[in-house]
Amino acid sequence: MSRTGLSRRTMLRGAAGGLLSAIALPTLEAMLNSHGTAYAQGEPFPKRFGIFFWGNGVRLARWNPAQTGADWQLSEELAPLSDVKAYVSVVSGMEIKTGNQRGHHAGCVGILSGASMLPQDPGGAPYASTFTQPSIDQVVATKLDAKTRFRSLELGVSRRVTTGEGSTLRYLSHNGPDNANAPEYSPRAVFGRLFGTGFTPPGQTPVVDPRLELRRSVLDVVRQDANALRMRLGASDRQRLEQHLESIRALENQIRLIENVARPPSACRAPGEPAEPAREQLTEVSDAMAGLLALSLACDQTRVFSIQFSGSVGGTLYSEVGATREHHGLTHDEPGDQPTVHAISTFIMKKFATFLGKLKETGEGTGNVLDNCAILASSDTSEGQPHSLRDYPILVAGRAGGALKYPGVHYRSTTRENTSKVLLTLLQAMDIPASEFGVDGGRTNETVAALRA
Amino acid sequence: MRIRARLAMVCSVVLATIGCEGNIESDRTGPGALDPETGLPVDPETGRPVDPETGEPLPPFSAAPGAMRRLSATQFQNAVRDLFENVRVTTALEPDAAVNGFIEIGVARGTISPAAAEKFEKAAYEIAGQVVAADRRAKFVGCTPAASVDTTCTRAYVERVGRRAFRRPLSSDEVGRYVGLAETAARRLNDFYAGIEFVTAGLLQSPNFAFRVEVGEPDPGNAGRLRYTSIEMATRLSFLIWNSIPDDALLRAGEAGELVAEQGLTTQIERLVSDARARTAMNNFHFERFNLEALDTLNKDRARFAAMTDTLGAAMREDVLRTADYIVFEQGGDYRDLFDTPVTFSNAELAGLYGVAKPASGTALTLLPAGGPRLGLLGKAGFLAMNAHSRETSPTLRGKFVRERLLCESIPAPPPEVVTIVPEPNPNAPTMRERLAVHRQEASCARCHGAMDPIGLSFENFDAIGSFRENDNGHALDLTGEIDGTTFDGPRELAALLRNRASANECAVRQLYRYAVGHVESAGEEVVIKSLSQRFSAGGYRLKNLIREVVVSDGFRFMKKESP
Repeated sequence: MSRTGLSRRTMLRGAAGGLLSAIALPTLEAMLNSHGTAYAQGEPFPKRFGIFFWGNGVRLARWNPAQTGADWQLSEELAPLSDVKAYVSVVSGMEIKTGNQRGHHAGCVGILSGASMLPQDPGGAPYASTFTQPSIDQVVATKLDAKTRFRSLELGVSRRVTTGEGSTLRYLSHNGPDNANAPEYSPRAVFGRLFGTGFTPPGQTPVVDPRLELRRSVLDVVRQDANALRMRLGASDRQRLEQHLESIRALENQIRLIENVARPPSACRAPGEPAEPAREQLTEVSDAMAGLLALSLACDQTRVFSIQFSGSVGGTLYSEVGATREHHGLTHDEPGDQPTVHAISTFIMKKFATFLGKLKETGEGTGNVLDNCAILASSDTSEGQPHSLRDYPILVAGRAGGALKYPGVHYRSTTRENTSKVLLTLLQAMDIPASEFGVDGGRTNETVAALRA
Repeated sequence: MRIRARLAMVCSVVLATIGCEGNIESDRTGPGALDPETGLPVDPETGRPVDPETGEPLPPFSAAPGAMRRLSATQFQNAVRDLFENVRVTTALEPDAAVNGFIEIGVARGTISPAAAEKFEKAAYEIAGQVVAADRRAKFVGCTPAASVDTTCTRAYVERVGRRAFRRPLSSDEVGRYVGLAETAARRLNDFYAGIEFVTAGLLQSPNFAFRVEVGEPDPGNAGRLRYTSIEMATRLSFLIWNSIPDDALLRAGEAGELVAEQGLTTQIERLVSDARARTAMNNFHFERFNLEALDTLNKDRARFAAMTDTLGAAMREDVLRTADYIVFEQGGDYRDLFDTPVTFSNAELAGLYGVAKPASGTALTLLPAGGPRLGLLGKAGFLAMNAHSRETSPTLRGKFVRERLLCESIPAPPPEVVTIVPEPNPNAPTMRERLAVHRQEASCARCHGAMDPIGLSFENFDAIGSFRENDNGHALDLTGEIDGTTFDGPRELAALLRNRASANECAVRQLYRYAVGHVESAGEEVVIKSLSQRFSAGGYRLKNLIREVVVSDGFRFMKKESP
């Protein structure tokens, strides 16, 4: 203690984070333990959970690595991940067990929530669907209850999502049926939300502003309105109001943390305001989002994130690889072995690699942010052409603070195991005491041992 | 219960109109056998209304469950416009998601996510700040405070603005809560207007503002169901006809209990429909009905289509909306004209695409040449471009739009695990028509594609952005099509078929009804749809009249009683 020159009081405030600390301090080396893997008080760096999602699947023949186990080599479509390969495990041969009621819809809901989709097909109108259960990012956010400024962060890259078939295809992150967390597609808007007003850069004193307290008083009145209203509503309206109340609570927490800012981890710094790329400039948008995400995690603004790189059945036009036709149509109609579809999968992995690379180059103690992440990357179908759910393309990235296998492996299931096993493995890697995951056919109480450290 | 005096007058017209189309066997129902309640023919044995087309008995009306609707982003903007003159919201609210074709159905299911609540809060303070701006506060507050805490003045503001925002008088608890909030802020910041600012931000974040709360009351005429209360009806009316909150006069009518009776409703409907806001609101209906959101993200291959620009999608949208507005409000015309009108509203770039004279400036009414290949809604670039790929046309998507949006038919999702590849143009299949033949080779595909592709193929002389083309890939075009066994040649004949098709006109009714009630009609509401359709055709297909008929219909006024 005395060796560090910091008082015990400072230490406690630093380690306890949020509510007690009145002044933001940069993390000093003195505040880390001797291994640099945790704060000196023994509190480990926070674990973060993320999803990286794209629409329309992959070309399995060029996606799955030829070798299994620890000695796997990058396949053609995974080749862009070479700089972060040690942080990536490939899971293949698994299957979504909730049934393929509807192409893309069932895969999207199945891989993200381990449950079946809820069809919304009254007849005589365009069909739609939504989730029946929360997506896994929200399961994690609820269980972690981290009280970070943002409960979770939803980012989108391509805006060419399917808007007419309900929330399943339009959004990734779900709290429940017809209750989604819409992604933000504008890097500038993300910057404003994360690092604009309300963000205290490390080393600076938080703003003391009586208006903040009054904003909370306003929300208190809004909550009283909601509580009075709740008594009058029927069951389903009441449930929808509950979400509004949850959202109000999240907003109160956010405002509270402006004044009582947690001491940010060591790599936190405020980025400059990014340029706003033109819509559908996929590389520019994606790379800007990657930078913002890395710093938002480094600054502990959130511990849960999801990136909807492109939507389920997405109509993204990948001019970056010379595509002249939108992705979904190509997966169905490109002849032969679909070289453009293959090039698109490869491009998406290149952008995923940028996300992972940014997390890896963002230091945290003696390691980096990616060391403390658990990331699920997958799609809404295994191959777009037949809308299949077999041999599902799944990547697991990050070390989850040492809980996940490093360097990564290729685990190939020979028995068409349930994809929910991967999700349960990730929950446990996040130290969430879950013994099962999924619903009905998607339910499992088993994990994938090969993925665990 | 509705007794309609004028019903007797229109009965014979109804039968004549439908009779011309051969949909009623008059010897079965007889010209006198009409149900006075619905205007529908009745089964002579049971006396129950029957479907005029099939003669099948219709289940008796049963009210649908209520569901509160969240204000859409557009409605939030409109409400602010109506609450505070010239106050602007620049905060981007969360976009709304359509379900079953309508945002109005989506918002009856959706809620407010954490990110959406953040955006609401940001917008609320943006608005509140403008309300108390030094040069505007006097107008908005309406009283001059005697001190930084002036309960009388605060209370007057809370009661007045709160009533408009919540679309009902505030309870004494609510008034106390908001006045207390204002005074806390005023004391803390030693500024009366700070109190007004925070209280305004509070009202705009309350679920009483953000949700259209409807709980109903017992229906004195039928113990088995609820009716929307008079004050709830005020909000139902204003959101349907203005897409915004009620004005003071409508709230007064609601408070006075006038809106549970047909006469009170009719008086207000007339007033609301003749207000300019009704036109903007019907634009919103058409925006949703025709899925025009898709025009915001058109993704066309610019190398192939030099005419495609960042602004063309918006011009296409304006063309569709203003054409519908022109028919419904300017002309007060026959809604079926939408199928075959020569009217377009074009700016310079759209006029270029249509090959018509460019307007001197802005967007102007421009007529398509008579007898040309392009006419009506389905000749508009909006429809043609939205339902096409980035480079190629999609007869499937175009046919799907006709089936789903114009005929209210369901096209199921393609079955999983079936692979069909529409081949690239080749010597054996040089045109889209020949390439799409693969859809008919696989039985599981043919069932649905047979309903879509033969309609869509008649639009093949319009490319993926809706420009006219003489040929496909250098090959002459065959524009023949088929719809449910009736063949036709080209979009002009299809427009005539649709115009005269009972299900197309009934679909317009269904769509307006769904939009009005926020759900897809259940079997127990089918009798309302049939009845409205009868009145729609009998009255010459006037959409403004249909709005009135929807509002006074049982489906709009009654709610299912939920078991506790």
